[in-house]
Amino acid sequence: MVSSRKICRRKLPLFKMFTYFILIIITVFFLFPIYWMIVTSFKPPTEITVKIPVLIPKNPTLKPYEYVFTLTDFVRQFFNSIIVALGTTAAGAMVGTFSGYALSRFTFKGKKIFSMYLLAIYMIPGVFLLLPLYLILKSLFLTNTHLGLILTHLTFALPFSIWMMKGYFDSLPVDMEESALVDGCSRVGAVVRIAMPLAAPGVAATALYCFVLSWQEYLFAVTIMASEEMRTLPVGVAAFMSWATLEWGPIMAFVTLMTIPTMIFFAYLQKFLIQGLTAGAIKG
Amino acid sequence: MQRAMIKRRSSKLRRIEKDILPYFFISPAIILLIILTFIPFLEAIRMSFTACNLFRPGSENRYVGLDNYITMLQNPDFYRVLLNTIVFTIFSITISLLISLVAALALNEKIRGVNVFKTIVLLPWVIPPVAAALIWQQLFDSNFGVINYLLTVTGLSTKYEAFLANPQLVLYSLAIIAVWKYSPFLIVGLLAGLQAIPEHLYEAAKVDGAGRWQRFLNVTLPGIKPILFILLMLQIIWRFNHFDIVWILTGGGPGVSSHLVSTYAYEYAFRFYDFARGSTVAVISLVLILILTYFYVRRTKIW
Repeated sequence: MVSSRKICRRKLPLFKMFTYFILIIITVFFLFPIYWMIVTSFKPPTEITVKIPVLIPKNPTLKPYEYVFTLTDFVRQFFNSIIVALGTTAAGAMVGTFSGYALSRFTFKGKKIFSMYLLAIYMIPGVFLLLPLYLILKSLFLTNTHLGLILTHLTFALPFSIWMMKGYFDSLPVDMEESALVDGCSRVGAVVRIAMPLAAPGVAATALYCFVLSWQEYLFAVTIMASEEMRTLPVGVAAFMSWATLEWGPIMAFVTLMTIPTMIFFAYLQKFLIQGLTAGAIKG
Repeated sequence: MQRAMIKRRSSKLRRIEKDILPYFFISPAIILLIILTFIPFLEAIRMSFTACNLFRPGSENRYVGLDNYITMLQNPDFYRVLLNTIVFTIFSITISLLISLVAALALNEKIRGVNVFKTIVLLPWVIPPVAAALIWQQLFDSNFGVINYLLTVTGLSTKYEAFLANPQLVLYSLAIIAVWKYSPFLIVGLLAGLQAIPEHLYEAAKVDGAGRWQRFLNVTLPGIKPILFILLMLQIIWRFNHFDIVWILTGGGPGVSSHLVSTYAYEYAFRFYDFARGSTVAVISLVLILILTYFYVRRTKIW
């Protein structure tokens, strides 16, 4: 007994150390590129185009940021991105909340088909939908408009938000809505007055999630927003890259700036990240 | 009497409400999804049977039967692109899976500071794919890249490689970027799966004298199997359809050495304005994914 305990005590720190060792290697792999992005954005060119990488800038400078704000279209692209992301978020969260509620609380004919269809959309390549959508939007004069891009972003934001909200409503108890119904409240009243307020954190998470998805999106944006003044940030930075080859300082400053909003949301979203995506799939 | 009538009426109203309400709630989603996904879906399939070209008005209604499919199936580049897509998917998923599994197991240990590690490991998830592509382009740089520096300093390589311009390396380099960007999602999922395994199963295994490795094989693996299979399926589908990183960094080049089905379809449509062939590539790739998913689901019995 005593001897086995001794072995345990000797073994445990070794395993712990091994775990830390693994964690540190993995952390370096995931963190270093982000560190490099931030560090490079504060470097003068003389510390970027060198054979031996400069880990910590010796002469940190804000020049790259000045460059981004004066010589690129960052501000306009930022507002284009904000408008599109907010539009996608509003529509996605609203539609997602009601559909998610219906999927979670009602049984109705066609429910299974509807759920399967939502899952099936995950499988369709973006390009597959993009080609016909582009032609349709073009014939409606919706290319190079915020609304046009918002509509295309809904193709992925809707299924995501519906699944997320269904999962969230599933996790809420039905008792309160039922007692409201017994007390003579109408079903619509029960939904609006009881269920929606309870679901507020879920709606917020879903909204942020839609925002992040729309903010990051490139394929639809680069196609629908072809004219220069309509570009969103991802399209803008890719275009900037193609004319400012090897101006790594400003490019990384641009990239750092466009990453900030999603970084801010990240803390809140973390715990919801997987819930909406897998909960639905497992039960579906 | 009157009271009973009111009661009957209100219960009838309630029944109607119950029948109609769900449809009322999902109607905005249905309308939007029909317009934005179902009609385009049919339209893409229709287009693949036409000669649709953006520069030839009227060509979108000229049907050519199976011509596009026959042309594509006789096109050696197309097979190369399919092979690229399969290699990209398998290579990046295998590495992702190894890293994610090890990371999730380590993050599931109750040790000090584990939450800090958790947050850091998840960060790439919020880096936009465009940003990820540009950051890694700098890391892969053939003159001043950190990766080349590390490889030569450690003696793993004797000369600086042009990772994104070398046809032999480009696909694998791009796959590494995908691993970096998309593994965090896998890690969170696996971690959720690990945390859902009841502690008493481990206790019972310990009482039975099972060592760490045996507990992993007999408790952990079966415990995370369902979520692992679902995550893996989503990842396979998404990587098979991957577009952003490849299009931004190489545009499918050099030659077609890094073209994936999505970038290939996109190039047909928006570089050559040949929407018919673009749709054809997209339809073939979707059919392949469906077949793959069908067998995957049947083998793993997720549903």
